[in-house]
Amino acid sequence: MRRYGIYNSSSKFGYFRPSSWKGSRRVLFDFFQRFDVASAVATSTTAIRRTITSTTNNNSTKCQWKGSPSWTTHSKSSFPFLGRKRQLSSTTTTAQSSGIPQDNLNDDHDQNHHQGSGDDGTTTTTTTDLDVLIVGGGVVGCSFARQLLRQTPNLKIGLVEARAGPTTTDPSSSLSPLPPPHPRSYALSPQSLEWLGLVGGVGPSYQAATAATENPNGKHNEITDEKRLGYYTSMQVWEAGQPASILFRARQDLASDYLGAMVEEDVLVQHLWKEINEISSTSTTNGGCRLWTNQTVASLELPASSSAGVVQVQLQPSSLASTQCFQKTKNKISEEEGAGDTNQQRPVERIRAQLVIGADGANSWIRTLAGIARSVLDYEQQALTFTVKLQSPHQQRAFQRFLGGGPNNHNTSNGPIALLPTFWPDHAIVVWSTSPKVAQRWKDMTAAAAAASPQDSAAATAELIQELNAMLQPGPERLASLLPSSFMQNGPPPMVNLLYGAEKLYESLFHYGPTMMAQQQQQESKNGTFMAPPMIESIVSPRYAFSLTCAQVSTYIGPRLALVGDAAHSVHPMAGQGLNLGLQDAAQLLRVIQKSYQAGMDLALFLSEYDRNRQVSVSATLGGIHALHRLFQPPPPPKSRLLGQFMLKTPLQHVKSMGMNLIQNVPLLRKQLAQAACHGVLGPLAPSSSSSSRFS
Amino acid sequence: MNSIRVQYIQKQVALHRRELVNRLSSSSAPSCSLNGLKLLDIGCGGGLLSESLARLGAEEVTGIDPSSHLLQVAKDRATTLFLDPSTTKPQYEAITAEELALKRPRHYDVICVMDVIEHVQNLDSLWNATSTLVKPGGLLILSTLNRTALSYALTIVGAEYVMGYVPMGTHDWNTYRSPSEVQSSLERFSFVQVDVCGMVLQRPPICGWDWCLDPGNTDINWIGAFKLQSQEPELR
Repeated sequence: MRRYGIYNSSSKFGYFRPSSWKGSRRVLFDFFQRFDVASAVATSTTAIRRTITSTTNNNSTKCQWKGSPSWTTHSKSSFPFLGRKRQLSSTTTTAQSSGIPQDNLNDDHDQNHHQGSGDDGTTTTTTTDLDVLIVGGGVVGCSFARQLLRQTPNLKIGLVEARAGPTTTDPSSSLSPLPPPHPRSYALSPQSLEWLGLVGGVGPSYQAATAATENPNGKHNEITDEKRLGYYTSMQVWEAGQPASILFRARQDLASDYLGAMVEEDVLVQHLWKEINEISSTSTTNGGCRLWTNQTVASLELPASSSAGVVQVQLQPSSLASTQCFQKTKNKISEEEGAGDTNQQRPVERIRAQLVIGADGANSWIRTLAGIARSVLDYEQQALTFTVKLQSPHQQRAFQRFLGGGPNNHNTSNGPIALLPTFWPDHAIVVWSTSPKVAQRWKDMTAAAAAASPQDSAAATAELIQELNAMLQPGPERLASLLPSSFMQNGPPPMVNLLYGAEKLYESLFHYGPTMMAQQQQQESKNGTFMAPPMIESIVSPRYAFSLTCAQVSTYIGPRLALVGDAAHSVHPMAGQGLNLGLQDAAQLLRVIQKSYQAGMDLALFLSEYDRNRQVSVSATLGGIHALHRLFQPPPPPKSRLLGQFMLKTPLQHVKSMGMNLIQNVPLLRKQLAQAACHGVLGPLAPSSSSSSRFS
Repeated sequence: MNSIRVQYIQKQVALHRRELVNRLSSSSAPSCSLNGLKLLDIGCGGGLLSESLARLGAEEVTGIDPSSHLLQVAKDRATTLFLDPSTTKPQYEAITAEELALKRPRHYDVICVMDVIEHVQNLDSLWNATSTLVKPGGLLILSTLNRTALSYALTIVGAEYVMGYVPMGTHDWNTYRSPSEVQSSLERFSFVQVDVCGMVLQRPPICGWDWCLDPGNTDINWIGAFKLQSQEPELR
């Protein structure tokens, strides 16, 4: 067992003593490694990636597809595709036993056979030709389909979703009480809201934003009409064991009326499905979007290269029509289901697409079928999330407190706890990142206790609420002293007094002084200062938990394939960037597709630009958030004396306090951080294709 | 570079559409910009331009190239990628322009000759063939390199010897033509120049190529549109 929890299986970081020049060079290298984020992500994932790729890639064919990963490690065996069929062996056997003809899918790409019936004549094959096939009907997939319909109206689009389709909601059913906000919500930046069509324009006023609808005909836009957008105008970040805090405010830092909004996932997806159907049905072009629901991809045949042919996809009915959120999706036909349909007719859906987009989430089936490797850094944390009722209004402020720095916090995996405002002023969503043990304990305890007896359940819930309030209520705290306490108590008094005075002076100049200065500056506006979060009164939703990782694929593209959203990357939720990054992916992919579309060129021609842009942008954002995570949740310090002294918690708290004060007091830095959360860390500096043509 | 050539073709077609087809385009979407037109791509190579023109709604697209090897690649791509029977599929033939002129005189609305004339020995016979192939009032869109010291420095010394973007010996500077030379030689075949534009690289190659059209700078790459004068009065 090695010192670092994450670097376990890597032999480079063995225990050593810095007794020689080589050793001390290793110490320095190690020290920089800990704060060198890009290599921290890269080297620490080297060991873990092997286990991930060995489970996803059963094929050991040498890779001939040259991806362009410059920031992340990648496995050379990541592309076994080469024009051959790639199917899950279990699917093949069960499908053959159930009579689905397999000889329809032949290797001969030059002749596109369209066989009307199968081997035994009882199944029908329908083949559809599409320009773009989007696999995955979540927020990223649906919003991408919607934007494609609006910007590239002549393209034929298809959307495949494993769950059931949109339910028809009766707008007049407002007699029933509206449900409380669902904890599965996303924090969307203003740019993301614009991409999704949920605001009237760029930088609207708050009043207009809640009233305006995207559609000028004034059609019913149930999100903004019913005001299920939880706008937040400020965000407060502070830490245990530290006096500093950062307050981001919308007007000062983003020149906008709000920092972002919280939207529930199911409401958003329903809204997007409805818009897609509306645009499709009213369009006069030969484009349009066709939706397949309750279907997953049974097989995916990518061509050897973009010129060799189109993508052949076969769909199968999915076995997860009633999928709950956060459950792992199963994509195999179960043995019972396959065998039971032996003699029945099963229509086979085949799709030939010029471009396939994998937008099917963190456990992406398309990514697995295509054999794209992923580097994963497991934080060994889970996020527990649920909706709570507050005792006082949240005043549209998001609160996030880091817990790792307190003197009494021995559980180093106890991560940030966030209280996110919703569209009801007295309800908020708690996202608490903590160790899996603690998360499962609270999740299971409350579920089991509710089944056992109501009194126990109430007591358990009360205990959880008390713990949450204990974590959220403390405000800025004093710093621990840098001087060793043994010396301060027993040393010679003049020396001790001098050092004591010097330390007080230093703390006033660098820590408490700037903090008070920051509070002073903010007082001119309402809610401009540090505010204790409202007390939590009760929990009003079920509790959900999901694992936290930092992951990125080795390449975002394949021949006629692109990955967007969580299928390509995962990030810690502490910065609220997961879905925003996914929507930025979709926006960049749309730009690339538009570039081809306007010149009538092959849609898959400029995919490498998309890959290059996303590799750099997403790596920068992932690196930044990982750096924050490492800063606020450092792994246990090493035993070596030289490094151990430096990495002690107290000096780190001092450094962090100075850093946070600096960010708070220098408006430029604060604004840069706020804008990075909206545009992505690199923003306009990311390598990208040229913008729209000069002659349009 | 193909994207700006296609955009240039779309723009010229839009400007001269009334002379070409006697009706205006029904919609302004890019996919319908070449509706109802017959186009010929001389020197199509792998079919990159022909495919783009076909996808933009042209009624008929023919690509010709003397190299049957390249044409086979183009034909394979057309077979595997153009699966929708309602959209036009580019047709390819391995003959020269002069032979095609004998088969189909006055057949095409627009003829595209992109980066071909610097590799052609007998330019006059090519001009003769194009003036036979194109309909009166039709367009000839031509792109080539200009014979200047700057083009020698960049495209031959820079691209071939220094950076190695293209193999050495690809271009012969003596076959580069300037817009005025081409204009004067085409005037003998009843073509009138209607537009000329330069194509420049906007950013240095480190951050990626970025071609764009620049009307003022025809020093290196240029593209021009020429219209065949018809003997009858034009329908307005």
